Amino acid sequence: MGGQVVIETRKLTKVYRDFWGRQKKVALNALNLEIYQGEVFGLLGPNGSGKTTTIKLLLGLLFPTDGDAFVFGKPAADVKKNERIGYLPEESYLYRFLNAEETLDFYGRLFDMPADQRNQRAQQLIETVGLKRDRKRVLKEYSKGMRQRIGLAQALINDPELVILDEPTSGLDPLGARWMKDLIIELRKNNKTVIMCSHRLEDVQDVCDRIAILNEGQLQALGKVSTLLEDINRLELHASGVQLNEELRFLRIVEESKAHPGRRYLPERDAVVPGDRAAAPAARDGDKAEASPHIKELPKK
Amino acid sequence: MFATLNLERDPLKLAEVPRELGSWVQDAGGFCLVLLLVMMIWARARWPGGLSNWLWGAPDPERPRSWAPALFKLCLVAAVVGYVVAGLMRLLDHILSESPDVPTAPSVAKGPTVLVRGSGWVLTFAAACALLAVCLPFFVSLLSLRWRRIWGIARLSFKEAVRRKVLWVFASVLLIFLFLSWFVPAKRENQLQTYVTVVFLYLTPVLLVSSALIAAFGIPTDIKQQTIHTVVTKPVERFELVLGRFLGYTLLMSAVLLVLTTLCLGYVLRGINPDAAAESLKARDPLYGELHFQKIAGAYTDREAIEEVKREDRELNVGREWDYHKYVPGVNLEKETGPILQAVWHFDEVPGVLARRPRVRCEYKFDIYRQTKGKEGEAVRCSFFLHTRYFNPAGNDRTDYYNARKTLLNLQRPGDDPQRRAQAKEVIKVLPGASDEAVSRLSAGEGKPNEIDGSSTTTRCTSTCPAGCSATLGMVRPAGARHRRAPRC
Repeated sequence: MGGQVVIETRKLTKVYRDFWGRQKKVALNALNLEIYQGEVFGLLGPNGSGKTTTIKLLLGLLFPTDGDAFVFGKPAADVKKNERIGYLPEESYLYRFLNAEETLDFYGRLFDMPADQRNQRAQQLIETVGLKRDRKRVLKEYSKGMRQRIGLAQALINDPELVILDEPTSGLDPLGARWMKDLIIELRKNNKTVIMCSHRLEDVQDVCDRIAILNEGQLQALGKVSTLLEDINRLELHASGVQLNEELRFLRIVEESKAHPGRRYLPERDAVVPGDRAAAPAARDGDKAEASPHIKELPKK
Repeated sequence: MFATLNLERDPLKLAEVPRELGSWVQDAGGFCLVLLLVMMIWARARWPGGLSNWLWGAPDPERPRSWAPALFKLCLVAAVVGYVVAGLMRLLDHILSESPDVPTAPSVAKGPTVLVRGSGWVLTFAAACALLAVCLPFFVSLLSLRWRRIWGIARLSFKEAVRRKVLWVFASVLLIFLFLSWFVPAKRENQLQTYVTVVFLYLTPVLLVSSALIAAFGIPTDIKQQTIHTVVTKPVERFELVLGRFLGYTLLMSAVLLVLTTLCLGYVLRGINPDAAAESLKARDPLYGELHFQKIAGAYTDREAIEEVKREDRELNVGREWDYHKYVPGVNLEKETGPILQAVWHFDEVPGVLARRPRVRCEYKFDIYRQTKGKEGEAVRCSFFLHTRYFNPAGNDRTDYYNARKTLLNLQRPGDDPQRRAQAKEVIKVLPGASDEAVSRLSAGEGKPNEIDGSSTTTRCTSTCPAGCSATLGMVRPAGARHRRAPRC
């Protein structure tokens, strides 16, 4: 990607600790990312993989334990960077006693927008998200999908350059999910940078240019969607202290590093992979830890 | 910082403000320095770059260096150095004062030395620096405030309280007024005061508790429901969020106060007896005056027997009381020969406009403690003497005054016209400068010091003092008066 770097993280780490300062959970471990202007970037991974933590660190909602995060070249903790960001949280956490117009008016005020500009933008967004008929109803009367729509509208009230969407299709029916994806594509056409996180592959597959796959706080893979999704039958085993004997001769060591102790084994090309994974003692399957030249050498079936 | 606020004290005078302010700065600055030192240790251990980086962020080579971190460091260093210097000056003073080479005169009361005075100034400066260092992030935040955001958050708080029906709580407690008269019996003389007191006592806890509860739950509820995530991810400073919430609740409580006050005013005005209203609905301007005490060993007219009494020498100890609420023991009726203590108020700053009025209405209220059981049902009696500035205690004024008072006290309500004329002559004799109206009222017995029942707290002074003051003699027999107010003239 040749665009301007919008987001950059350097060994971004977040460790949750208990009251006594003891380490409880490593939510994110040394994440290195660069996200460019105009691309739709997806954070993919199962629940608890660190997607939302990454987003919160980028937004300054959490402070990193180690490493740095920069948004538009400014530290993530800098409030002023938020002027160029729109954020849709996972659940649409909005004030349920306000109606749609009041909600957008309130968030417009937070961006210090003048009244006429605020009203014009609010009406335009209400129409865009299809809530024109329900604009006078308070949000507590809305369905989850409607709340997600008004949530998206508040994220776009300032016409942001960077839109961060946390599980944007959550709670939407298939039509609503399609509408959301179309909107994201529309944002890309307008040269907006979009970061969306999801645990559903089909969501990111449809709209993202690049994705990062996270698992247990580790970046497992990073790259273009088309490239990463080609290896749909890849099997990767992580194990340590394994002696390759006759039964395991089909495995080959891919990588062993200080950062990721434990060898990673992949089946040799054309070898028959036994169905019984227990053949590899203490082995577990997982994704690639980080982008490396080995990816291109992975056997494909 | 407000822990050093002294609540039990005399009313503050303007001349005392600089000294009190300096004292407050020293106290608050001391706390601030301790806080800064603790934060420095904490930040050094937990935050790369220390306290300054934690507060202001790491220096960015691409951006011009802000003045705030530099000023913060300067204040911090100045505070530490100032405290060290002040401590050294005190130590030096202590060493010098104990030195045998320095001659001392124990009989002469010494003021603070130059070193002590200087250390006080240095200490105040150092404390001010510490205070500024702590408050600097707040002041810097003020510069970047956007009032549209704050107003938006304030409106949100207001709408939240209204739409979540918090205001119904206020409305529900108004029901108590429907039955208030069952519980608050009031006599005519003090009906208005009782009603106002009740309304005030009602409004204070309702508003204070409600505002504290609403404000305390506002932001925590936002955090709990995570609605705050959509707010702090906008370009909103934390301080703006707090200030906006605070402003919203202030507006809300002001609106509630306005409505409740209007309702309470309507209740008071509608519920009060017309006679009580005529008596009580008058503006009053309190004058406190300067208080000192006199002891009269002999007769009242014996000016040689009068001596000033210090507060600590007074015989009656009523416990801890504010200085301007001093007490004097009454006369022991069983030992009439004992000395009499008098409390004397001086009113040096009486409004000049009063001089142009034909009459000046004076009121006073006070507490009376009975230390002995005494006679049951018997009221407590006390006397007030009002002197104008023409009163000369060294001359015969005191004797004349005493005689005039005695004459006026002996006036009776006339049974017929000749008696009335005779009494008028007596009045003119003792009060040659009195107006016709005053003579008429006094000779009719109306100006006689009132004998008011035991629960009353005021008396009307309608006779004229010998020195020409329009305010005069009064004698009251209060038993349950609570509020203190010095007489005014």
